Amino acid sequence: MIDRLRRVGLHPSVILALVLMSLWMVAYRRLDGVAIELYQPSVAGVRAFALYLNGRYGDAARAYREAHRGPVWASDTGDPTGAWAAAVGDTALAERRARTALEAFPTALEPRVTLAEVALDRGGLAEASRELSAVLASHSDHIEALYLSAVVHGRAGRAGQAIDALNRALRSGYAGARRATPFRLLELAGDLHARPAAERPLCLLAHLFRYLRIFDGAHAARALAYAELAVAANDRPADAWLTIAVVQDKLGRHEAAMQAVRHALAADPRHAEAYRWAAVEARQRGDLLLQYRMIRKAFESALTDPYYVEDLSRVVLGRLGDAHTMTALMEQALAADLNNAMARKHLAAARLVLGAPRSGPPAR
Amino acid sequence: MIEAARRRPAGARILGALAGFALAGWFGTMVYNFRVVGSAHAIGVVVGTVLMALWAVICVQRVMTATPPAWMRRLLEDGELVVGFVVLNLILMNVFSPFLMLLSQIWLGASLFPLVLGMAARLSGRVLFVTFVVATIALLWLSLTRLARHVAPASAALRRVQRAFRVVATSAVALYGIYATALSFNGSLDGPLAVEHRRELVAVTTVNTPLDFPVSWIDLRAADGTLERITLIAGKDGVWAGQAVVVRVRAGFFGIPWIESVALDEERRTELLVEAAPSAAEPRRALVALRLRQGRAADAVTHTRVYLGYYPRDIAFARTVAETLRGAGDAQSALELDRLALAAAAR
Repeated sequence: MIDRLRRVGLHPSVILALVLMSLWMVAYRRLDGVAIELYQPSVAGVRAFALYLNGRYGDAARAYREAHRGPVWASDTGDPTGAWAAAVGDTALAERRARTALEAFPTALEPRVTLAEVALDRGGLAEASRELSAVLASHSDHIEALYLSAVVHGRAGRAGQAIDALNRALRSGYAGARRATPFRLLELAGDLHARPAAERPLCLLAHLFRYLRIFDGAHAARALAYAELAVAANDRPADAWLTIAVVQDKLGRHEAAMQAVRHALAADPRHAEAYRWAAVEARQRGDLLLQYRMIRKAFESALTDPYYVEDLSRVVLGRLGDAHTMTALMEQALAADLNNAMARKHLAAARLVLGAPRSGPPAR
Repeated sequence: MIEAARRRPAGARILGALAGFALAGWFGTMVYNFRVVGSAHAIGVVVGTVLMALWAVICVQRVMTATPPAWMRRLLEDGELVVGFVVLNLILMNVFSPFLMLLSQIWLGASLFPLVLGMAARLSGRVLFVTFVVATIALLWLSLTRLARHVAPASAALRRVQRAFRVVATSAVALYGIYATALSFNGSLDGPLAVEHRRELVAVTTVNTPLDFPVSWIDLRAADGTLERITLIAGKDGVWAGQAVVVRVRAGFFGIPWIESVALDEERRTELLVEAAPSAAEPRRALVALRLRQGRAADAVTHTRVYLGYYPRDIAFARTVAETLRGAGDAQSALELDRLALAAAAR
């Protein structure tokens, strides 16, 4: 065989090179978009990665958590909330540190998140839920608490609440700082994905894979597929369309993203986050008018949510120079919720512009 | 092929193919930029792309079948024996590059070794991917050429087919060049006048080609309802979006109408912004500036009056508008604005 190849002019070394290069290129294309968090330099980490690549996400997540286990290097003062101890699997130490911190500072939020993590590791969904509710009651946009709430709700079969928590966390643009968070969500996604097709919460899975896309671009296709199934099954279609829009945006397909946002708004004309994404797409296209209309709609759809005020101000005051409208909108927000500090701040800024000696905003 | 190679040195054959590729690319750019009205533009661009691809293939073929000098031939023969191991080494180096980088940083003593380690560690996956793509194409090509020679040895008929192919490829580039040059002169010798057509944007389609070069086209609707499709020129048509666009069409020196640009209808966009946010300062000011440029003094005065209604303290803006009008010889409108500014200041 080798002689025959040589006679034709094909050296075995060339064939070997071609095979090796092809294999490496295939592997590179698959692994290129995988985040560093999924590479754990240990035998357990390699096993976890192999399970992950094999699509067994639940087992992979548990293997990753196992790979994280190890000695707690941080002292009590270096890890006062117990977050590090929880990350390396020492739940007893994590609980002790968190409770000590809470005794000293009863209003502290991070120790409560640690207690929720400990409860989750021990299978105590109700206790985890209680701790997270306490955190979210004082800080409704606490990212870590929102992600963990999504896990609790997802495990308890409350897919709708899990989606709400995920959407609220994802709009921050952060994936969470605690080491175990992505793996808890990966585990949930894996376990739900492993269920028989008829029992899968489609829209929640779409959201979970939208989150996991942050760590591995290959999940974008899964998020899109689940979202399309959710739309077809009428499982929270507005949220499913929003997931399609966000993933398409991340893939650089802005026209498709805009189209999906339109569908989301047709399904739920009061979906504030869908309006915000419409504004994001409008900004991407340089369409200030559409951006203004959409961000205003987002704000008006969620008057008591301070999250949209900053973006609204950037457009209304920053780009349009419309201090009158900004004043009126902020007064509207304060009428709905007197404790909206963000609205108060931007109302002051708008009034300052109107009261300035040279009244109109500075020309750009 | 062998006969032709005997007549002309390998370098000349490769340079000839490179020239063919460069000319196809250059003519393609001309056809792309001087966008004629109708589907001829899209067809022209496709033909240019096909010609470029054809000459790229010819170029690679000539490189692969060239007879290298004796010293290089020895090197290539040796290289062919070890290429598999070189690839294996490169892959291992890439896998261990983070450790090599660490080692190069902690290596004590000044020597060449840490420098070599550092260089090896910088062999990123992306660089290796590109290297492997090129090497795979080259090796596959070489293998297929050798296989083809083995299956179909050189014959008079094959040589005739090859010659005919060369003539067709060269003639195609020449004809395309004539067409591109005609379009180029048609556009560049054209008068400055352009006719502006206002259209409604119906749909935008963008296809990302494998070389990361997006190809976009838009579907526009005229006032009478007729639809037209226009391919967009990357970097020329500017940032366009929204509903209203302006298509600038020029007559062409040879009478071939061509589309100079497709741009957002700034005037319509500003008017819509003023409608949507009447108290917004920026769009109102932009509209006043636009009306001044258009010589529509009455409109400029009206909008400045509305602006002062919202922002009575910004008399500096009103005075600037008045100065502009005075400069344009419209003393009456300027005087009216001065009065408005005085009234606003007195409030």
